[in-house]
Amino acid sequence: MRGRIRMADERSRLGRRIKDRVFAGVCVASAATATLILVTLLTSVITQAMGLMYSHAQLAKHIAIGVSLLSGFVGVAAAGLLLAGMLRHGVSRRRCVGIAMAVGLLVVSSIVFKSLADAGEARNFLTAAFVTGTPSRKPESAGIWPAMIGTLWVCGLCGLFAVPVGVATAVFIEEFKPRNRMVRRMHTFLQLNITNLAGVPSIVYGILGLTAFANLFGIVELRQDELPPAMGVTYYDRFETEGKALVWTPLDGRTAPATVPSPSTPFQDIDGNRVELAIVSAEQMLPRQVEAEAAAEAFVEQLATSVKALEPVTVAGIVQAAGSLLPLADLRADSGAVLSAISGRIEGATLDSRRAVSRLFRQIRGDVENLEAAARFKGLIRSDAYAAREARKSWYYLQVPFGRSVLAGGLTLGLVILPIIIISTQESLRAVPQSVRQASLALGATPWQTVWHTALPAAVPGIMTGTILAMSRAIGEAAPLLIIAGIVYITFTPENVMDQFTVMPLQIFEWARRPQTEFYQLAAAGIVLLMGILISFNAVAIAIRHKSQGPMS
Amino acid sequence: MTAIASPLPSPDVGQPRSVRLRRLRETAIMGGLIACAIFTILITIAIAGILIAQSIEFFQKDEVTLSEFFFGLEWNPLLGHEKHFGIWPLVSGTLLVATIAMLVAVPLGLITAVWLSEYAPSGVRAIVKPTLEVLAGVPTVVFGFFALTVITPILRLEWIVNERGEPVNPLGFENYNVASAGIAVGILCVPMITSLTEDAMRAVPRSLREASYGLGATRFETSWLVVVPAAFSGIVAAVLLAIARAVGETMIVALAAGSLKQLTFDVRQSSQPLTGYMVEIFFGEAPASSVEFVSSYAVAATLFVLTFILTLIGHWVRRRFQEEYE
Repeated sequence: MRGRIRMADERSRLGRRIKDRVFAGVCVASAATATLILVTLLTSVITQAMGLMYSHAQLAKHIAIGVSLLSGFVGVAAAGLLLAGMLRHGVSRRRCVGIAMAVGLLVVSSIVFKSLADAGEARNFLTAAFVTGTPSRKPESAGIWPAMIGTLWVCGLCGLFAVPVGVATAVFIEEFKPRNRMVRRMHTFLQLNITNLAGVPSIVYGILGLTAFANLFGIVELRQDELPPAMGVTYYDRFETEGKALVWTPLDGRTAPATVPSPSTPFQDIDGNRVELAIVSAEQMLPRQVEAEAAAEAFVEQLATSVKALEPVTVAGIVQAAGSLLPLADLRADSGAVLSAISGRIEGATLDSRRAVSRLFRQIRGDVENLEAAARFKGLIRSDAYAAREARKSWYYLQVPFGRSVLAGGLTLGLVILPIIIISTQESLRAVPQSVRQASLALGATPWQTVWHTALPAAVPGIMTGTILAMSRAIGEAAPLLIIAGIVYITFTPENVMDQFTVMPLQIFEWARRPQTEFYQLAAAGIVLLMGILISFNAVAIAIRHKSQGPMS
Repeated sequence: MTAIASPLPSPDVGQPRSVRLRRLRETAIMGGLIACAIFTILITIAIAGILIAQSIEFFQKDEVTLSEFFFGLEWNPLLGHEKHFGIWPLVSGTLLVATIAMLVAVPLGLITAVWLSEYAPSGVRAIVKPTLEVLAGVPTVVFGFFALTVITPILRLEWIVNERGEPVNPLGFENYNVASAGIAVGILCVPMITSLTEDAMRAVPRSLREASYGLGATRFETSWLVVVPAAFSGIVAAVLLAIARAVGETMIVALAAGSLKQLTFDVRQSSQPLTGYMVEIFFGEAPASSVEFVSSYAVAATLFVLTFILTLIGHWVRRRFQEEYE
């Protein structure tokens, strides 16, 4: 090293100077390239999402032109700087940089304007409907809402799991350093293990999650059709009433026998209110209430008038007639025909039976009133109605194994970010001066009190920054969740931790795999949204860091 | 009167009632902390256990032999009636992607880091450093999309069309190719390498630079002949970490590298890496006990061993070659 410097000293001063300048130029060019790539990335995604750039060929062309223009200019600028440095006068560096930036801006904006002008039939996918919509086979009406809420659920659970465990592990490693040699070796092993975990590809964590959480190592073996053991769930038998309304009745457990409707069955509506149902046997199927009422009314009127006209009626005949009348289904039949049938039967009867007729009259009237009363309830139900088993899940519903659920996804993501949280917490704990701890211990605090009341509070800003960075990693992570959630077409938002889910990166991946340009545009719109969320998340982290640069750190 | 009655403020923070209770609480908390620490070890054990158990199941299948797995040059579990399970086509895909990624990321990342550490004014660095951290957090699926919709069309020169309007594709890049995926993975690794390398270079004491300048060295000579060698262990560790990241990268290769399992060194063609194969299997319809499903565990084990070795080397380099100053 020293020898080379001496050799360099012997070379010409100008040569060394040129080399220095060239390298400075290369450095700036490299940083500029990195920036340029990222600007291109953002621009290309946004133009695609908004439909400004329709075909990829067009996009590629514009980017290629832009990049070659820009790099050409950067070359010229670098040469200029070199010359300026060599001649030691003339163009000032600041002016050069200013011109370079101006040209860069010009190129970028010209790409945007050119693409604006080229925007033909392509549509803008970055709309409110896209944010609030659900995935669809038709790209025009597809949205990302279930994936957004899924991300919220999964990342929330992931943070709840990973942050306490991670911080506790870091506190153990950093604050409780053992003096015993054997235990110290274990500490080193722990540290090495965490370094290794940080390097494990996230897709491997997905496999771990699938076996450990989704299948619980295969401990709970279920038959194909069996419901898994669960808590926080109530099982119901669901019936359909004659009026096509649905009623439920709660059960004791998932294995309870099917309910048979009876007067004592506690039927409920969807809100859980008690519903009174009239049970009818399968034979006496009742007609629809309104029609039945009207027909019965008309029939009774006619019967009354015709009975008045008939003097001699036998009781037996009337009873027989009443028997044929009672299946109220017949009420719908032409009442005139029924009347003539009755007339035929009671023809030739001798006994005056006004009283019997009026009894029959009252009975029929009573039946009709019962019918009206039944109509006031939710409806009528057949005694042999089919009971469908239904599980109603509360928000704390849990089952084992977890299956392809939000909980399994959250825990798996938690494993992915656990090493990141541990390492960042360790770093911020290390940054807390030792004197703070010594003061606390000298005051008689126990080791844990020292950690809890002095070291941890001082490290909180650092821990929070690390946690937010880890969470933003979790938000963007797709590979492990791809294994947990599989290929699913989810159009609903999760309601408990056992629901199936999808997350934004997974939805974007799903769209980007399809060959149609519209789905690429959907993916681009999803990316813009995802990046927006991530950037605002990171802005919070940076703000916290800036605010927390107090005297301790 | 009362104000001076108690010179010592009573400690309001959970004063335990007795020493015994206090000791009990300390023990309980320590127990909790140790449990958390043991949990992290359990994760490693669980990963290793699952991968080993499932790989054993894989090697017990009739179609698979150990020697074919390690030396076979053909991997085609999904098509054809004669299935072959030689790991090399997938490993070659992974290595190809990682190599291209490093060809992109190491020069770009390293030089940018040198610029940030040695050349850039502090104001610029204050902006660039947090921006780099944000960029390191850009979801990989975004880079995959970028590879698919920007890098590949640029490589294929898609704006050059023949008279029928079809792309001529003069360079011969396929629709899904290793180069595009590798470049995207490289871009992904740039912020990581830059950030870690810059940290390592900033840790080099100022006195070394001053001595170099004092001997009349230029800025270029100082940074390349003094600072970079001094920070070498950190740089190598950063690069190894980036390689591990590139090897384990999933979404980019799943989107852009295609699904052809072939042993090739032609970067214009499609060659599926290890992670891409796993995505294909888990995203597909393979039944859980079939040989192609179980084969993904053997692939995962290979991946795990690869990254594990890289991490261990990185750790060793950092400890062995770390230069202590002050």
